[in-house]
This record gives sequence, structure tokens and C-alpha cells, in this order.
Amino acid sequence: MPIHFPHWRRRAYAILGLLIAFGGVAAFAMTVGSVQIPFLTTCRVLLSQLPLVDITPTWLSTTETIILEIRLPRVILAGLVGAALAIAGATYQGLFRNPLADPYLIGVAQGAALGAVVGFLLPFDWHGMGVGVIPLLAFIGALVSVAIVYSLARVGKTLPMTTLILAGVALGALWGSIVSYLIITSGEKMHGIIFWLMGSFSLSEWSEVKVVLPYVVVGVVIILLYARSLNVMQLDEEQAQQLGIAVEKVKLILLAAATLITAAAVSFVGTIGFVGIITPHAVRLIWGPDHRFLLPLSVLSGAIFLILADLVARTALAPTEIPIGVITAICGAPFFLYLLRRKKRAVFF
Amino acid sequence: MRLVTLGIFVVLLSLFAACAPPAEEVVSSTMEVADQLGRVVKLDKIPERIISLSPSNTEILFALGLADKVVGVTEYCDYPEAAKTIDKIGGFSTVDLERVVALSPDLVLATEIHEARIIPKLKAMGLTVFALDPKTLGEVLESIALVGEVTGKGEEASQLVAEMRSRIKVVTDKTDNMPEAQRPRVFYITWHDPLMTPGAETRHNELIRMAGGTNIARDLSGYAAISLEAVIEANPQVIIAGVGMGSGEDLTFRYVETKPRLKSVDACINHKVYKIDVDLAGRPGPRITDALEQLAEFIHPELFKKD
Amino acid sequence: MIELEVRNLSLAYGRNVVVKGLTFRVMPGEMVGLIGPNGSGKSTIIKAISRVISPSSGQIFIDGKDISQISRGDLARLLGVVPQMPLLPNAFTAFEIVLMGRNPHLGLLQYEGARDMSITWRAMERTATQSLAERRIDELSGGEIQRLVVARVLAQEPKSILLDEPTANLDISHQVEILDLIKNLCLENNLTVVVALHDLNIASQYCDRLILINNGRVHAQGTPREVINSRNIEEVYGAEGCVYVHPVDGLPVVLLKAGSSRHAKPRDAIEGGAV
Repeated sequence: MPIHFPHWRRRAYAILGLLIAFGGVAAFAMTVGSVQIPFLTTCRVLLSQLPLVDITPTWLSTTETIILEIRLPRVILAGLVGAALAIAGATYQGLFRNPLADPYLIGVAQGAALGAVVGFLLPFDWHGMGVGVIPLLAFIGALVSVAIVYSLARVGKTLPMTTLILAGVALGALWGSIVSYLIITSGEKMHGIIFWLMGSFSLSEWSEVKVVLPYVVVGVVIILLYARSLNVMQLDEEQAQQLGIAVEKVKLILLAAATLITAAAVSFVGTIGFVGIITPHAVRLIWGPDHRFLLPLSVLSGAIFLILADLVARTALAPTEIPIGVITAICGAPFFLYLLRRKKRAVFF
Repeated sequence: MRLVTLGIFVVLLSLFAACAPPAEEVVSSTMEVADQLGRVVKLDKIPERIISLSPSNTEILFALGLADKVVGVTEYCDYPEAAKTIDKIGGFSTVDLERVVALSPDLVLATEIHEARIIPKLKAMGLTVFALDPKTLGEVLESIALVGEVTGKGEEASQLVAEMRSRIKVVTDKTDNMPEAQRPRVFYITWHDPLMTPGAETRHNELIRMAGGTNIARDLSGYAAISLEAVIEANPQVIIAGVGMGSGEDLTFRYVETKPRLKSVDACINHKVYKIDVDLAGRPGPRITDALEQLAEFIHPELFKKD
Repeated sequence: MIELEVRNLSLAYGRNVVVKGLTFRVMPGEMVGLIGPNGSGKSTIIKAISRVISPSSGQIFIDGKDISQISRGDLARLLGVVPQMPLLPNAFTAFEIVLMGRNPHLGLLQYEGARDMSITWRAMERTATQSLAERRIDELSGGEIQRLVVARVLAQEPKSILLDEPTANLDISHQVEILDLIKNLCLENNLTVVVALHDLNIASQYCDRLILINNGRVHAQGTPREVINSRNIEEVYGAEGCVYVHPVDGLPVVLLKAGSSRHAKPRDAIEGGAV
């Protein structure tokens, strides 16, 4: 007699609940900012953007600019980046079967940082094809770094995961030291570079959203397709193969997808820590390790977390903006400690 | 297989750069001025609401009598006093875009720090941005003139520049042809941990030269870290500590006073260690002549001591 | 009903040759035992047949097809493996682990349906693990985990099963239970079963044929009576005079006697009863 599955249903409801929460949080974030705008006005401005709705503008054009050109792309980008980092972190943790894995493990962050710093230091400014030179170089830096790490770690047709981590950490350290050197010798540009590295959504633009969105959507969809395979891969590689998983192929696909969405996120926003490692763990502690729920729940949780963190970053000490990496750390660490204490047996895998 | 990977890479890269920006609109304007970042800025009227993104810009605006038109400044704009009461729109390299937009400025005065990301964003939101980037004293005077030009205060600007020039001349008349032997070795300390000093291509270096000294760090590039050993070896005859930076008060000055190994250099033996307000020399604004005069006093008291 | 064939198989880890020139065949409905001393290559052979490692020479055929030519998914539908010391992720429940056995039958986009659930549940009932269904892996004992892995292979519904020391951690009642279960499945469904065992008595009781492996080569092949005799045991294991006859079914039985190894000081000769 097949047994009853209360937790599957509970988890499915959790996805629905988080989806609703995400909508609520995003809407809330739209209505709050360093400039006070009445709630109803915000709603009207947003509604007026829908194709069939016709509302005569009663608001200032500056209000519309603030809501549609500053807040809306910022909230969307924060959501996208949070979702991307969280699911990439969950994927890396599943692939490496290591609770310390985060999206920056194999050199994405340091490669992107190097590319971005080079972009900052270039004597010319270039804005072509919708992106600036800094995100473009950051993206290239991230992908090149991972490509090097991958080719260093690969052995024939297989990709040993521990070698991958070691190569990633080593290469990341190398890029990091070059970045440090460049920062120290960068003179006045140092301030801007350091701020970029700490991560910020303050200059989010629609053009950036348009570039990041397809990467994140495609990457997330691909990863979700392999959710059940990721479950089976929590057994050792031998057993996974014996259960029909083409382990090397799945590793490659998931690594590529997770790396790509991380690179896209980091290239525009800088390296924001904590989201990628803590979000999947928090989700796992509450709703279990089954990737078919863990992955979508991480996407939603990451988006919510980062939207809220960005909200605090831009309003707590306005007009000064707190670097978002500081917020994620301040919020993330105690929350995680609390979860650990609640579920006394904290076992990750 | 490699070719396929390369192909995918290229496709990804072009996906990445897929959006083209809208074509720039050409508006007939009454004024086109090139700013110091080489950007040609179009203005069709005299600005009435000006936002300054840096303390030096604020000082220039106030010096030109534009105080009532300045609607937004940074949190670090502390001179003159009146600037402190104006609405704050951000920190040094962070700008609160919402507040800037809400203030509806018709001119935003920026610097090269904002070039990479902030200026494009401001432009994308339809704001007029004019950027200053003076690297030499001459360029500082030029920046003042440019601000006068775009704000309709050309006369005031010429007056201010002329006044500054004459004050500079008072100093350089005596120091322009000074032989090396008469130039004391000067060490300017901007920060103590790590030990930082302005090298070549900095305004400080130029000021020291104009004030009749020779910068011991003139072979270093930009704002450079320097080792204590190198300073001791150079044996400066005058040490000038930039103080008042951040909330550091006079940490640099106290560092020089309390560092035992520095006791052996000429400057300390002869008690030629001075403080200067770091904003004077550091901000490329109207008070830079004050900095020059003070430096001249410290370096050549026999020539420039005020009575 | 499928046939498993190993032809002239050689396996090596780097330069270290573990198995050389191995040839044998297993027919449907047969339970064949791989026996031999530690390090003789039994586990390696299992890994090769399940395509975890590739042979340095020779071929392996399942259902007439070369296993290197079929996809992993196809292979997993035909062949299930019960590994020796399976590493299981701690945070999953027992049911979720057994459910993973259904993976080869599900496409990429498919999720487990009611039928998969009931097959899994039935597999757990047959291995007496259904009471563990909601428990997490880190709470289970070695024996419970072993039965769980057997349940998983039952859920997989393969046509052929490889087992690597499936009863090493089990007490006697569970050993008999699992082995009886596998034997019955083998007979009822005409499964092709290969079992690597170090316990010669189990091998003798349950296997239709035995392959005695020594230093990577076949030392003897045949029925238990043919393979387990004093001479073979002495040649391969170095233990003298341990083989007796089971009082009930007449199959060979291996009993330890202190002092029967070559390390012992010469003592009294073999007591009566040796074959």
C-alpha cells in the first residue's frame, strides 16, 4: 500500500507560499525608497505601464522616473541576482556534495573581479551594444577563469570534483592577488573599484536587466530539469552511474549552467557574498534536501532575501548606501545560527 | 568539439551585448561646452537647480555666488558652512539616484570618479552632467572658468581666476627659477597606515614644486605607498602632514611626532613639521591657492612668512 | 530474460593488473557466485560489469549487446547493483533512497508517479524495511542500510542483478531473509544474478554455480560440489582440511579449525570428516 506523503504536499505549498511572498516583497520594495512617494501613487504609476490600462498621469515626471527608471529595474535585478546566486549555490553544493560550496568556488568571482578592475582602469570608456566595458570584461574574466580551471582539473573524460575545487581556489587566489595589486596602484579610482567589488544595485538599469534576465531564466530552467538527477547524484558517483545517470554529462551541464548565471549576475553587480551559500542551507534545514523542492525554493528565497537586503541597503542610512554585502552578512549570519539551533541535528547531506 | 565550444562562447558573448541603446537625440541648443572629461555637454538655458557630486565642486559653486541655486550636495561638502544645510544626495562615490532625480536638477556637476558608471546612468535618466577633472593647478583654474561658463557666471569666474592667479604669481615669482640647491626636501604625508604620499602627477607634487620645495616622492607615481626606510633615507627637511581627513583629526601629524625612527631626519631635528588642512591641498577648488600659500610659508619661511 | 557474458576480460588499475583473461557466462534464472580471497578481484569484476570502470581488454555482453555500446540509462534498466559499502546521503529518508531505484525508468522531465511509489513500497516490504521509510539515513544501522540498498535494486526492477557482499553486515536471520528473497526473485522472474561472496557457506547454499577466482584468474568453475573441495580451498586459501559435508542437504560446508593455516605449528593431522 503506497504511503501518504505529507511532506511533499507541504513542500509544494511552500513553493506556492514563497511565490506569493516574493510578489508581496517585490511590491513592497517598490513603494519604499529614500524619497517618499505615496503608496497609491506608486501603484498608479506601475499600473499605467500595463498595455491596456489608461490612467492620466497625476504625478510628477520625476516620480515616474524614480519608480520606473530607478526602483523597478533595481528591484528586478536584485531579485534576479538573488535567485541566480541561491540556485547556483545549491547546485554547487549538490555537485560537490560539500556544504561549504558557494557559487564563487571555482573562480567565477575572482575572474569577474579581475575583468572589472581592468575595465575600471582602462583610460577610455566604452558603451557599446547595451553594455559597458566593465560588465563585459567582468563576464569575460569570469568565463575565462572557469575555463582555465576546468581544463586544469579535467582528466581524460572525467572531471574529478576535488581537483576542480583545488584548481578553482588556487586560481582564484592568483586573480585575487592581482586584483589587490591593481587596487593599491589605482590611485583615485580605488574607491569606485572597492565599492563595485562589494556589490551594489545602485546603478541598475533596464539594459542590464535585459541582459541578465535571459541568462538567469535559461540557467534556472536547465538546472531545474536536472533536479531529480541531482538527488541521485548525492549517492556516490559509482551508485549514480549504476542507476543510469550519465554522471560526467550531468556534471558538465550543471556546472556550465550554474557558472553562467553566476557570471552574468556578478558581472553587473559585483560580488555579493552570503546569498549563494546560506540560502540553500536555510532552505534545506526547513524543507529538506530533495532538490526538486530545494532548487525552486532556493530561487524564490534568494530573490526575496536580496530584494529585502537591497531595500535596507538603500534606505537605512539614506542618502548613503550601505554596501549590500554588509547587509547580507549582517542579516544572514544570525538567521542561520538561529535555524541551526532550532533543528538541533543539523545534518546537511 | 572545440569549434563548437568556441561557437557557443561567441554566441553567448553576443547575447550578452544584444541590446542597442536608443539613438541619441539631437536638440538644438544655445550652448555647447566641453567638460574636462572630453564630453561635449549641451545646455539650452542657464541652470537654476544645480547638484554637486563632490566637495570641491561645491566650493567652486559657492565661490561663484551660486549658493542659492545649489539644491543638492554630498555628505562631505562641509565648506563653506552654508553648504552643510543643503539637502544631501550621497557620499563620495555613491550617489542616491532617487534623491538626485527628485530634486529635478538642470545641471549635475560631477568628477572623474563618477565617470565609469554614475555619469552614464544620470545621462540615461535625462540629466545634464558636467564633469570636472583638473589634474594640475592650471586645470583647476580652468575648471573654475568652465563652471562659470555653464552657469552664466563667466564674469565672476574670470575675477576669481584672476585673483587666484595673482596670488599664485606672488609665490612663483620667487620660486620659479629657484635652483635645486635652494629647494628643501619635502615629505608630504597623506596617511600613516599604510604610509602614503603624493608622487608625480598629483596636484600636491605640483604645489610643493611651486612652493619652492622638492618632493622626496617625485619619482613615485600617483598616490603611492612609501616605506619608512625610504623616507628616512631621503632625509626630508620639511614634513607636512595632511590632517583633518575623515574623523582622523591629526593622526598623521601625531604619527610623525611619535615615530622614534623619524627623530633623526632633518625636519624633526629642526622642528619643521607642519600641519595643513587636507582639504586645502586635496580639493581642486578655490582654496587651492590657500594651500599653495601655506606650503610656501612652511617651506620658505624666510621668503613668505606673514607678519 | 537476459544473458550476461564476460569474454576474456582483463582489468587493471593503472599498471596494476587485477583481473586477467576472465571468461564466464551467466544464464537467466541462474545465481552465480564469485568467490575468492580478499583482493582477488571480485569487486573489480562487479564494477566492470556495471561499467563503472572500463576493461583494459576483453568484452562484456548483456542481452547480447556490448555494454560499452549501450547508454547508461539502458544499462541501468537491465542491470542493478547492490554495492558493498554504499555511501548514502544522510539527510534523505529511507523511502527517498529506495525511490531513487526508479530513476532508470523515468525520463528527464518525468517525476515519480503512483506506480513508482507502490513499486518502491513493495520493495521495502519484501526487504522488511518498510518500518524505516520515514527515518533518515543517519539514524540507520549498517544492516538496515544494506537491506535498504537491496530494496533499491528491487525497485529498479532490472533483469539482472549484481551483488557485492550483500550480507556482510547482517545478522543471520536477516542474511537468510535477504538471500532467500534474492534466490526467489531469481527463480520466479528468471533474473540473471551474480553475487560476490567471501562466505563460502552462503555461496555453497545459494549459488547454482560458483566461479573461484585467485589472483585475477579463474581457478575453478562449476557447481558448489565441484568447486568447493579440499584441494581448491587449500590451493587458493592456504587453509588445510576445512571442507565438510552439510548434514542436511549434502552441499559442501567450510568449517574453521584453529591451526589449519600454514602459519600454525604442525599439530595433529586432519580429524575425520574431511573430504
